Amino acid sequence: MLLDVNNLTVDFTTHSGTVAAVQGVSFAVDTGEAVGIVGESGSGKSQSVLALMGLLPDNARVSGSARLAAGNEQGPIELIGAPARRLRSVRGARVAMIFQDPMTALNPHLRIGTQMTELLRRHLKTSRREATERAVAMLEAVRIPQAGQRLKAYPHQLSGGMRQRVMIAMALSCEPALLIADEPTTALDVTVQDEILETIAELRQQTRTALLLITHDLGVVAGQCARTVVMQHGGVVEQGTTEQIFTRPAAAYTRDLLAAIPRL
Amino acid sequence: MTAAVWRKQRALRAASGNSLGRDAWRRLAANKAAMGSLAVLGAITLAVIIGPWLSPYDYFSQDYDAIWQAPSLANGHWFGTDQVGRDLLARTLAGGRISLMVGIVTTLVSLVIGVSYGAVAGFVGGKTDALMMRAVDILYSLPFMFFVILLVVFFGRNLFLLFAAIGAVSWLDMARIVRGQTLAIKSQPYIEAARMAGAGTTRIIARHVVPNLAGIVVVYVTLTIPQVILFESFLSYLGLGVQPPATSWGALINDGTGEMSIAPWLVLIPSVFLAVTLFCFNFIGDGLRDALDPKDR
Amino acid sequence: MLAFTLKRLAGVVPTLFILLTATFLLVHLAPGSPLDGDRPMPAEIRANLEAKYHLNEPLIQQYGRYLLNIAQLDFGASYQYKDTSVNDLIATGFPVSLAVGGFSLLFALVIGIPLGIIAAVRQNKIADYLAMGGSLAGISVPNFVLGPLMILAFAVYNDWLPAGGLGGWQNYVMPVLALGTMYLAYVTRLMRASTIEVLRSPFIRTARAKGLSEMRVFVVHVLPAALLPVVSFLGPGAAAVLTGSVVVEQIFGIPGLGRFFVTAALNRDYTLVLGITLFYGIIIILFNLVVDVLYGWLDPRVAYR
Repeated sequence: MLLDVNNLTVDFTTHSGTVAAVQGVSFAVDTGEAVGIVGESGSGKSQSVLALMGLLPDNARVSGSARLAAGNEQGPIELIGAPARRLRSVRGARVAMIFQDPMTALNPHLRIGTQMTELLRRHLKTSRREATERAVAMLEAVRIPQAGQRLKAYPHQLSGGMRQRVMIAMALSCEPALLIADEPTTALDVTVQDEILETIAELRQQTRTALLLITHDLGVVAGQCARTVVMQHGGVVEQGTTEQIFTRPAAAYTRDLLAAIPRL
Repeated sequence: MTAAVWRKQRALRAASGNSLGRDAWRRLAANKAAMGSLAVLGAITLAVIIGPWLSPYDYFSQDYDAIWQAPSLANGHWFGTDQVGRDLLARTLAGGRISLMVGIVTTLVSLVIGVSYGAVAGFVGGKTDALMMRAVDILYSLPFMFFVILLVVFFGRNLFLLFAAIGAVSWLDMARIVRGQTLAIKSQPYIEAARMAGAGTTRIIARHVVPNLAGIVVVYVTLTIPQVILFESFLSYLGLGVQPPATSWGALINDGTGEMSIAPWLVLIPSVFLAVTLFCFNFIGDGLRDALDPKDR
Repeated sequence: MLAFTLKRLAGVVPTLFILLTATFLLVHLAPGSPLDGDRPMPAEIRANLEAKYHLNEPLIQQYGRYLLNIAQLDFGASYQYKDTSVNDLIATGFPVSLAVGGFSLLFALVIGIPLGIIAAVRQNKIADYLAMGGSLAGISVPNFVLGPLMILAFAVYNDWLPAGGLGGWQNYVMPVLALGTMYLAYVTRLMRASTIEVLRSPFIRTARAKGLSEMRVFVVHVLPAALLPVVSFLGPGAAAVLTGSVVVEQIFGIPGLGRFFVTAALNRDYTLVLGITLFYGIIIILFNLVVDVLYGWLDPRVAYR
């Protein structure tokens, strides 16, 4: 098992009291496997993965367990409550993330090259030149034309789809064991969405990277994920193989979601 | 003074009329610093308005038998007297009248200019907008305080010129803010909906744009008043603002600075009044902004 | 980048033109002539003086002469100090004002930026409340209040610092504090607000998700973006500091340009008031240009537009 999440709970302390965002969520991801987490906005799906990565704001309280296989002889790493230093060595290296809006997820003040190489140099401890070469190779792998020149570009000089490709190239550049994609296609044009999903699938096949795909769209999960977790109101409604979820949904909520998928 | 703030506050509530307005009001009411400031400001305003009627002294009569009296309850000069025996309490209240009046009247001048200018630029858009905002940019980069002094020097020192001169330069911020907000409102779907429903431009501006501007305008009004009071004090401190026998807090501080080593209360008391007033306005402005836009806190 | 700089440079021209025309028209719209004194002047002397200051020429010719003189950076002679040109007075006074203003701005930036960052990082904690309360107080205490109070405390009641004049570095302490405190407060608030906003932006979450050290996240990702509002404040900030130096020079008896300006204004010395307004106008416009170009250089999105 690559990632084993057990009884994960997230509470936010706000002015008007405590808000329970995630209430005892459990799921698992196997090596190289693709798992989808589906639910409407506010169902706690994004908060769950951000909690794993230790990326929630200071007013969040996280409990439960999330064990990540270390990828070497050592036993699994407990992510919840792990020291910041430990988490930082996991982020970007063992587990990478891409986000919903590539417009704002890339730093507008830095060149693409700088943003890609700082990650490579941090985790792979490579020289500047090796990092640049690797960055170009990754950009080519996500089919960005004239990759060498793109390194000098700023994010605003690229199209939305192009930016998300850069995010994917960056996320996979350190060969993580798990890629977490949080609504990776929601902010993009419909025509670009499929290309992005294809790119992810293609690269995953080469690297055997596991995928945790978070989306509100069951249709996206259908094409990508072997297993699906359905979430609502901070809890898991049901989980199983994607086929099972589609053909024999157990929960009424899942049936509602299925009914909402447009059919041609 | 405070009445104006309260009125605007009610206007804002009435204008939005929805839970957002009420929420903002509740958040402001929960802000102890802002409510305390409102109370202090109310007290100062009340004192400035009715104080001169109750005071046994006026602000200009000299009394050479009672010069440089230190503040005391015993001799009847609670704030002491100056080098020609004028009662400082009476002078502080009279000065406060001028300072607050300049602050409010001038802010109203800048409000009218700024809101209409900004709303027109934002709503009309296109080339007109670009041209109008370019003009604001140009005015922005001029050293306006020197210009005001230049005006005062050339056209003589009088209160009306002061209103006009400071008002003419302090509308720029308001125009920028209102224009930005109008642009944002204009692109909202409900404006498009109103247009489709056949509402004319005037009606859209009156029914949809103006009410939605109310919040940001109230915040900027509360932040512009202290700025204007500061400008006036600045000019009066230099001897270029209100002229004797009239006085303002800035003029009193200027007078007091000369007598500082003999009679420190002459500079301390008006300074405290000016600083506390500015502080209260700033606190209320901050509180209002936080109340209307709670994400910042 | 070069095209951007040139475009900004071209943008300065109308601003300068408006500054010059507005001041010229003001002078000529003003009631009374600078030659009107307390006593009536014999017609002959008056005519001579009018000829000397070219007041007898048609308006358009005077305007041409005015533009020509300013193009040569010649602001004419002071009405009051008969033998001194406005240029000489500027040359004597400006370096002094520049030192006081420059140190004040530096003081505001060097203390305000770190203070704002601390307040932002410790948002809604004690340090934040102290910094915010303090800066609100700083904004509310004008320099002409702070100045006299400091003189009382440090020069009258205690003999720690000289009350005025110019001599050693001690003479600069109180003026710089009096002038710089308000901008320190502004910079602190600005820096706090922009740091909080940047810390909330998604690209910072991306940087953290990359496993970068908190130090690198802050220095490389947060700081440059958070400093931008402070950079754009430099333009109006510098103008405000120059304006404020007028008062501070008055309080501390510093022989700077601001003090000349007030004396000239009180004595209705037209040419000197006009000359200093023009000089400061040009300085501020040019400074704004530099800040604009700097901003475009720091924020790649601006120059691209």
